[in-house]
Amino acid sequence: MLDRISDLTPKALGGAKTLAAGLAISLAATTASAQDITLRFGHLWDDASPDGKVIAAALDAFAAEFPDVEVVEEVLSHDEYLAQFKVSAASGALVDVFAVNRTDIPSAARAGLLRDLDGAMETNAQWGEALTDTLVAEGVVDGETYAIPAFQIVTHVIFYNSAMLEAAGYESFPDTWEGLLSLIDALNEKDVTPIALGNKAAWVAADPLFSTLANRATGSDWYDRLLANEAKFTDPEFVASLALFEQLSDVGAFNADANSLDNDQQKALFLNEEAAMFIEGNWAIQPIIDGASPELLDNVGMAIWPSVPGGAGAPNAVSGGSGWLWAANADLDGEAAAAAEGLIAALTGEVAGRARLENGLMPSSSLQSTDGIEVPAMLAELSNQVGSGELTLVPIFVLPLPGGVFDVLGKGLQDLMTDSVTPEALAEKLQEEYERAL
Amino acid sequence: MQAFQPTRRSLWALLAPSVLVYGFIVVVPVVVGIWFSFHEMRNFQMEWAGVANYARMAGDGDLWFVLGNNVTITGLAIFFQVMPAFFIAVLMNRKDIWAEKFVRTAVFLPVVISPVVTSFVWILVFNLDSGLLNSTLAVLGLEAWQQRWLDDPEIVIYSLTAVLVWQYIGLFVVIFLAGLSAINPETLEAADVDGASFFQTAVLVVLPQMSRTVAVAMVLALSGGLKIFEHPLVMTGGGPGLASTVVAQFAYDVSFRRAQFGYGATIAITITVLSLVTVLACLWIINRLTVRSSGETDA
Amino acid sequence: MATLELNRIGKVFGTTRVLSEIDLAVAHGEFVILVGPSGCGKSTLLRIIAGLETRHDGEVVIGKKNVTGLRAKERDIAMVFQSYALYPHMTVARNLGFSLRIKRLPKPAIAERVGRAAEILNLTPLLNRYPKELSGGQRQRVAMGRALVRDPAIFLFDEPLSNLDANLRVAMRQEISDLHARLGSTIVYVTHDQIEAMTMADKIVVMNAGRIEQVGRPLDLYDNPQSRFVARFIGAPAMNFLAGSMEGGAARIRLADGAGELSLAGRPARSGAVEIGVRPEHIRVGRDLPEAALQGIVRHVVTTGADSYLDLDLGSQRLTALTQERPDVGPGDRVAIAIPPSAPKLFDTETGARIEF
Ligand SMILES: Nc1ncnc2c1ncn2[C@@H]1O[C@H](COP(=O)(O)OP(=O)(O)OP(=O)(O)O)[C@@H](O)[C@H]1O
Ligand SMILES: [Mg+2]
Repeated sequence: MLDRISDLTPKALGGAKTLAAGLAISLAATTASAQDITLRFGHLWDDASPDGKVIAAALDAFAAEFPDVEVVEEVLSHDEYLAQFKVSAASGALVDVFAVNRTDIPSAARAGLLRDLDGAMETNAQWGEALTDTLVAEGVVDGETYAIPAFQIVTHVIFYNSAMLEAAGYESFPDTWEGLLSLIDALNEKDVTPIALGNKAAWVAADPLFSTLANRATGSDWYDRLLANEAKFTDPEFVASLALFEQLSDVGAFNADANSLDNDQQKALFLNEEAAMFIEGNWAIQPIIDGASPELLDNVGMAIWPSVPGGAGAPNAVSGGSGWLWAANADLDGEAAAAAEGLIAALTGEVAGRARLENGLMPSSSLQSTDGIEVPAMLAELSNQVGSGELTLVPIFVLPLPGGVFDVLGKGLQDLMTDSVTPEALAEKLQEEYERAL
Repeated sequence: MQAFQPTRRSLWALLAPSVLVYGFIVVVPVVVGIWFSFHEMRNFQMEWAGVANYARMAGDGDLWFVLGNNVTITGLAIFFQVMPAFFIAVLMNRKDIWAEKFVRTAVFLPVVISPVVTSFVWILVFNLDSGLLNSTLAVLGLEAWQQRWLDDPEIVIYSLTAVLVWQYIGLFVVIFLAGLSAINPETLEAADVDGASFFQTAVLVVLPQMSRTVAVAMVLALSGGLKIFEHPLVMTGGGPGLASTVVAQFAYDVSFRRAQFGYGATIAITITVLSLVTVLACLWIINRLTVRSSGETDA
Repeated sequence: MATLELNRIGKVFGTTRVLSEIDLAVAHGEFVILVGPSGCGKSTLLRIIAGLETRHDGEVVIGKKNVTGLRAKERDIAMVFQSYALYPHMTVARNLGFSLRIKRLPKPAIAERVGRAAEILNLTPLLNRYPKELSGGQRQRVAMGRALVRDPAIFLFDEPLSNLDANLRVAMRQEISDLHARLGSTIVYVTHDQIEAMTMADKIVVMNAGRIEQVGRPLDLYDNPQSRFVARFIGAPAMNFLAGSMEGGAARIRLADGAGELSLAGRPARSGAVEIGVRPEHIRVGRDLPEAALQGIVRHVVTTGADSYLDLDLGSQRLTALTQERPDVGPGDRVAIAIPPSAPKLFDTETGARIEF
């Protein structure tokens, strides 16, 4: 090799020099301060989605503040992102700033993959203090904050068509379980699908429907004990919550093809006035406004599960929180780390918060001002109820639990709907899966 | 001119690229998979798990259930896809009947369409209220035959199989047509002269001469049956419950939804071994049956 | 057994016409041999009779039944293919018995018929072999056997003996003739072999370029060819052709380049150029023949034992003579040549049509 170098043309030598220079620069960039920092930024919201627009606005704000930092976005679809995240986390190849699912935070933090962000929240106190405390708690592991909530969501809202309810003899949404069951009967008699369900991907039943329903039956206390491994899925209160879900299916609350449609299709059934209700989160508000006829829009009401017989849960609890949080790679240091913290602050700061409201979403922090933002009435109503404590947020059922539990619950609820499993058997399966991860 | 005589070293140099490519594509994933199968992920770190994953697999009713789905689909596919494809090919080969390019194209077309696209099309066919299938039955006054094609756990697997048969039957027709072109057409005429009917000719004269083609078709059907992934994923997500989940999706869900990479790899490795064994056994049996008489040229 | 009738059969492959206006009647039990140069359409005609080639003009009648458009299996014919077409995956025994199996004959009956055919064809030791383990001739015999085990309305043979050695061929010829005599089967048989045609056929059909030139009993064709083509095709060694010319009404004919004159037994009405055909065995050659009208020079002499062939120059024309006597002449000798007046056949130089006299 050595004696060959003499053969190299001047041009090739020039190339080698540039290469060496480039190496030196990139070395410098990773060690000490330098003019140019590149941040790889991974998430799962494409430009066209409302969340994607919020991110774009936040990136603009960030660019103004950190002109020397280049942000390279790496966007994947939901399932791909989840898989990719796990693979890169396991192989130590996480990007610099990324969205992390609530489920993954404890293990990722304990594996030392996430940067401790408490310092950043103290340094940038204005930003840190504006963040909603209950949401910030989702990113806290063993007393340290490892991730900042990306937004606030309410994952359980029953959207109903009040005209259809009236036609079935109901002036208002029933406030007892029995009332709901007889409403379902009445609607079925009128050949209207009571609750449109599009549960092909198995999360609609597991979260928008079941998260809050489970809380009604078990109460938050049981849930906290479950997380502490002091309660079991096989406890009667949880089995009762599965039985309630099965009961809904048995009395014909859902369309017969509930497990082969997706959530867009359940919304479409409602918008086409083929179904009296559908259940999803606050993110469905904007599509309803965009897709409903003016007459229908006037008739859309929002409700939540009524209390259930013998249930320990508060009747005003709804599932919600953040679910997705922003985190930074623990390997970052120096200016790159500061830039990453700045990016996270931008993603959850004032500009991003305004953009969220403008796009029909809920920010994870309180805004200094909402002047000039036109918040849709339904979203404002929901926000106010959450803000005023009229509704209390309880965790999205599966998120703090291991991924396996989510998977088993999602498929198990489908099985309950086809009578392929009993609530007791499903509870045992959930417990088995849960214990596997302890 | 002196012929190029590879020395040992130059031989290695020439082989190295293909050995490397083969290594990366085949050997590395298998080795990594085997390593994974003796570990499990905990807090994003792979920890030694011994044979726990294998033990868990043996007792995993869900896994055996979804494997049963693969077996059902594969069995039905061989019966309703490979066999009819053979007869269609023999029929198309009789030049005085069809053999029009059009027919060949029509049969083969679905094969080249992406599974995701066909799945979406068939979702529309199977739709409960407005789907082509149930609407047609309604028009024919056969409401009693209407089904929840994708929602009834007893039926969904057959609906899926129908789509797979529809999509891939053309592949087998083409394979059999290729096999047919290799056999002496006069033997078919001789059978005709000898008084054999269409089915007798197909079964007694054509089939035994195409044992290798049949072997290829069986191997494709078997490995295809174990590889199914996109169709159920798009059409039903594997549901309701596990009713239409196949082993590939199960392994995928275990790895990526449950983040149990070790167990996912264990399933993948086991299924790979299982399919290899099945395919080899199938080949061995076919070979045994046709050792001496094989009509296709050996060399 | 049945009669066979072909009415105005025509066949076109793509743009090439292979057969035109074939009319032929085969009587019950008749042995008909098709001859003609390679590519003249013999196999095609056989395939049309068999029902393997269903798209053609005209009609095929077997027995009293018009079978045009029926598939082969509905025609009750047995066929020996030119390229054997054995089932490669079956043993010889199974190849032979296949048609019987299809007819659901009882196993002992199949075994018996297969055994008999194998014996006739010397295939008994080969019964358990597969076709790829056989020689060309053995395969051809299996192909024959596949037809012989059956009892069809018509047998069709497409050059069934072409790959056999001389002895076997003679034996097989005898076998087929015996079979025909014994069963009285109707047979249509294609061959290139003159002797086969002359010895076995009740009737020979001479084909040329997709048409029938002449149909007749072997000796009729030999003695009375209706065209130059048939005259040239039938007979080995072939008929000699000489150029000549004549005057209308004269009983003699002048050879080209003044090589001499032939006398004829009659007086043809035509005048002008003609072609004169003379069978080699009708020419007498000697040092000194009183009746000789011609003089020639010997080029070669070939003696096969019983027969001797003399190659002669007659002016600028060539002539072959056949004699059973040992010739006492050699190359370069000047000889006398005698042709009896009844021997020459005259043909139109242009059309090749026979000129009677
Ligand atoms: N399938 C075909 N497509 C086109 N042309 C064909 C086809 N089969 C035969 N021919 C042509 O038809 C003519 C007659 O063929 P055929 O096989 O009948 O001849 P043959 O008399 O049997 O000759 P041979 O004595 O060589 O066997 C030939 O010119 C041949 O090239
Ligand atoms: Mg031929």
